[in-house]
Amino acid sequence: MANAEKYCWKVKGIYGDGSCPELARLIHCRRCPVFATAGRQHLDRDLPLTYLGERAAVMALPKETGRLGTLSVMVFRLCGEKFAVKTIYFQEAAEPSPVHTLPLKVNRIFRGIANINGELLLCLSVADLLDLTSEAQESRPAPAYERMLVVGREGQRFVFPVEQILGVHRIAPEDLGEVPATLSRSARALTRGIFLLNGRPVGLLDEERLFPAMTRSLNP
Amino acid sequence: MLLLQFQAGTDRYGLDIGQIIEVSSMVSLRAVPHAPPEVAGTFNYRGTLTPVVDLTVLLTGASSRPRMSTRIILIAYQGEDGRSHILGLLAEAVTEMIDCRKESLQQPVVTVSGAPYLGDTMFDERGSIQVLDMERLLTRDLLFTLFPPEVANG
Repeated sequence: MANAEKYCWKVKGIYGDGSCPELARLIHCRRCPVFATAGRQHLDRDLPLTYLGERAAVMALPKETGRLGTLSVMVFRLCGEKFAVKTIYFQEAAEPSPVHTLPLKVNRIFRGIANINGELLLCLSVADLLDLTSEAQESRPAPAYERMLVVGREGQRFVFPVEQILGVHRIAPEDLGEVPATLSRSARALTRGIFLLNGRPVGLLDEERLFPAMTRSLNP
Repeated sequence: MLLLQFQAGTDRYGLDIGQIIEVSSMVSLRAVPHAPPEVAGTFNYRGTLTPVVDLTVLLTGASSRPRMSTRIILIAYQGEDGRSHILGLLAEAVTEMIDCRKESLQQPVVTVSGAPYLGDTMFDERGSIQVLDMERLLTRDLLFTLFPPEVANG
């Protein structure tokens, strides 16, 4: 009997030929009480030899709790440096798209209008806003991971090109350090603090200053 | 209300999760010589010396078998002496939570004077579950054995 009935999920279930009549209703074996019961019975096995001692040591330690008040940030790379914005202001990452200039309106920071998934957005160069661009970097070939990052706050939406998006990370407020004096003056003014990500510094941009600075660049 | 289900003998019992702090795996316990049989021992729970009562002994007379599914349920025990203590309850087959509606509970038909902690019973597709009243789990004597009054400690 036994194996066919004991391991029915391997015979007629999702891991077998799928002939079990219950599957029509349950779709997957993990919703089936037979599968769940078998899983629980798996725990009715004898203890490994060193188990009791190991667990006693674990239970004697203070309970680990998650850190409270952490901040979710979106990290990206600009001109070889890493920066981040709070994830709540991040709205979209898009493929690079051409930027249409507006005659007599564009400047070093405000580059024009970009079509992001059918929506026309004001495109800025945050690298220029932060004074990061240098001639050496201008001549570098475009990296393969280039993206357009859409940020928004209180109805204002902007898009800016970044070299790479490095994903969402969590930081604790106490991880934020002082902004070093080696950053450019504009970068320092717009950065709230520095934190380390895999040992490399990342500047967290201050949205209270970044968005007004972006708005100002439209009418210099 | 949610019940943490465990098994004693062939019967299933439930504990209201309200007072449960944590469910620990089985650990090595320090024996308490001359203690009543339901006292399984003591262990270091996060820095606090915590007594463990074996529910299987309390309910069936036999000790809990050492299994992966045999676990220690840590509860905040409001004793008759008015103080709150951390107490470990050793039980078998602690692998499941049961959703239980208050109106589906049935009052006990047999009351046993020696076991005032036996509470209401509910039925589900796999049989019946009896809810244990944690407040009445320990007799006065046992409570004083496990948690001697402060005065006695000096």
